[in-house]
Formats: sequence, C-alpha cells, structure tokens
Amino acid sequence: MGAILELLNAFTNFTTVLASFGMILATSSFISGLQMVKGKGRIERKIHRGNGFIAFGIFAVLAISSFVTYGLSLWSVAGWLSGALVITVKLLIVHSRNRRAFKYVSWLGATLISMWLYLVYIHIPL
Amino acid sequence: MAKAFWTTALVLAASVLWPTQPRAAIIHVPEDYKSIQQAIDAAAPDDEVIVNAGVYRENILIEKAVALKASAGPSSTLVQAADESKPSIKVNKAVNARITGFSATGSLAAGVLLSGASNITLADCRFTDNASGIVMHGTTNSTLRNNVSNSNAQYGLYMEKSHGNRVEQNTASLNRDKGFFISNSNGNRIINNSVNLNSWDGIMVYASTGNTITGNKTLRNTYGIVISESNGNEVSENTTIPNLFLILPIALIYLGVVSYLLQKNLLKAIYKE
Repeated sequence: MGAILELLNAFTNFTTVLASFGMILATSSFISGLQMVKGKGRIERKIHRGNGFIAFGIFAVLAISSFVTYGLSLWSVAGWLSGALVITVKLLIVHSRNRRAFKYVSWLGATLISMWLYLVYIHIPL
Repeated sequence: MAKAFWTTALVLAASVLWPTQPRAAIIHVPEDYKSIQQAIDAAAPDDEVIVNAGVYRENILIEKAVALKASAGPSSTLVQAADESKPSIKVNKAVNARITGFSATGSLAAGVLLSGASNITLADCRFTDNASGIVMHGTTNSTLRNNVSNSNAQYGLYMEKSHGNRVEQNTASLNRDKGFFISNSNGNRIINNSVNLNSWDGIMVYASTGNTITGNKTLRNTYGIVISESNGNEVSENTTIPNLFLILPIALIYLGVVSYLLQKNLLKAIYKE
C-alpha cells in the first residue's frame, strides 16, 4: 500500500504528468507508425502525426521548463539537443520518401520511445 | 532611617559583587572581520558569528563553542575550500558549537569534518561536490538536521567511531558511492532522511551496534539499506523500493497501446473506413 501511495505521489508533480502524457502519445505514435510501415491506411497516418506532433510539443515544453528551473548547463543542453536531433532526423527521413532510408525509421521510432522512457524516469520526483 | 540605609547599601553591594553571566557577543562578517576564520579566532566561547551572503575562499577551523550562522542561508553563503586537501569546514574537538545555513564545496577531504567533537549542531547546510559531504570521526552526541549533501565523489555522510548522534531530515542524493556510511559507530539515531539516487548503497551500516534507522526514504539506489557485520540495530518503517519506479514507464507504455486502440476505433467510426 505504501509503495502504491509513493507511486501516486509522483503524479503531484506537473512535469511528471507532462512527461507521462508525452510517453503515452509517443507510444501511440510509434505503434501507428509501425502499422504505416506495414502499409496500413490514413487512420494510422492521422494517429501517427497527431500524437507525434503533440509529443514533440510536450518535449519542447519540458526542455524549456528544465532550462528555466535548472539553468543552462553543457550536459542538459547536449541532452535536449540530442533528443531534438533524433526527432528532426526522423522527420527528414519520412519527408524525403527515400526507400533506402525508410528501413531505419522504425529504429529511430524505437530510439524516440527510449528517449521518452528516460524523460519519464528522470522527471519522477523523490 | 538606619534600616533603609543598610538595605540600600546591601542591594548596591550585592549588585556590584554578584557574579553576573557575561553576555555572548555577536560578531558580523564581513563588517567586523573580513574572513570567517578571523571572526572565529576573535570570538569567545558562546559568541555568535553571523556571516553575510557571499563566497568565502577559506578553510574554516572551529575549536571552541561558537555559533556560526549564515544570515542569508546556504543558497547565498558559500565556503569554497581555499586548500583543496583540507575540509572546507572543520570542527576539531569542540563542544557545543553550532553551524547553520552554509554551503561548502570544493574540498578533496570533506565539506564539513567533525573530528573528536561533541554536542555539535549542524543544520540547514548544503555540501556539494566534495570528496564527501559530511564526515564525522570520533564525534558524539551531536545533531545533524535538515542538511543537503548531494553530488559528492564518495559519501553524503561518513560516520566513523561516532556514537550517540542524531541524524534527521537530511538529504543525501546523487553521491557517487554511498548516501550514508555508518562505520564502527554505535547508538546513533538515523531518522526521516532522504537518501536517493546514490551510485551504490543508500544507507550502509558496518560493524556498528545499537543504531536506530527509521522513517528514511532510500529510493533508486543500487541497494537501499545494507547492514553488514553488525547486530542490535533497529531498522523499521523505511521506504526502500529501488525499482518501483520502473513500473511507471511500463504502465505508461500499456496506456499508450490502449490509447492507440481507442483512437483507431474512434477514427474508424468517424471516417467509416
């Protein structure tokens, strides 16, 4: 019971709630993206784009709140820029419509999910 | 008339001859003395040294019962070790000294070292980026309250051959070895501390007896509380759940899958694909 209360207590923190919401959206976007690779239709595309863009917005808000709260440091800037770079590369590959590059998209999607896992983990308050 | 005279004379004589307690002086840094050490050297036992906000590059040594207080608190009053090989603050064989509201950093020995001291109060201080945050050696009956000892190279608190101390409501996180290391120390009370995210143990008790470890939070360390070669310690009501928080991301992935299925069915109903 104490452990469950401890876990629920994590959601009293705004950035944890935001990061958790981002994680849910990123997962939905990732699954719909995999379905798109399989050749499924426009519903998957809508889910993928909608969830992906909102997740990216949340990523930007989290980055800004991190800089406001903890200031700019080399490691934090490098970390957030790396995340932004993965998102940008993924968007560029998708928009290039290059078939050879396309096979790496699912790897980038998995990297984005890992990134969100880390974001959630570090935002859990103690 | 004579009675009134003798009464007045007696009162006057008593007021002159009665041994009165000398009042403790208050010394201000940097108004009265430029460095904290100069102020401590000039202070008599039981005097209070009040330090204004600023960065003080020195190694402070306290060997008497003074109260050292940072008026602006630890976020504005920093003691940076001038000689890295020595502690930023050292309390050596003093009794009844008090240190409150300081930050101490940059020592390859310790943020604060309590050596052979007793009845020391260390409160509301912050020790970061030292070899160890707080080191107690041969120190007894002292109180550590509401201090933060984070991001040190070894331990947040290292206690060696120190007995009967009270360590309560302190935070020791992100240290690169252990949060608290209690070694060869008996009869200490470790109560309501937060010891999280340390690279190795949260709280390690080694070769020690009769300690009370209760109400502490040791989250996301490699090991929560480790008792080794010790007996007769009371360990109760601590929260030691190193991997509980892995459940949260997994639950979120599950919610993500559910969210995808919900959206898919909703959009299917809308677009009638």
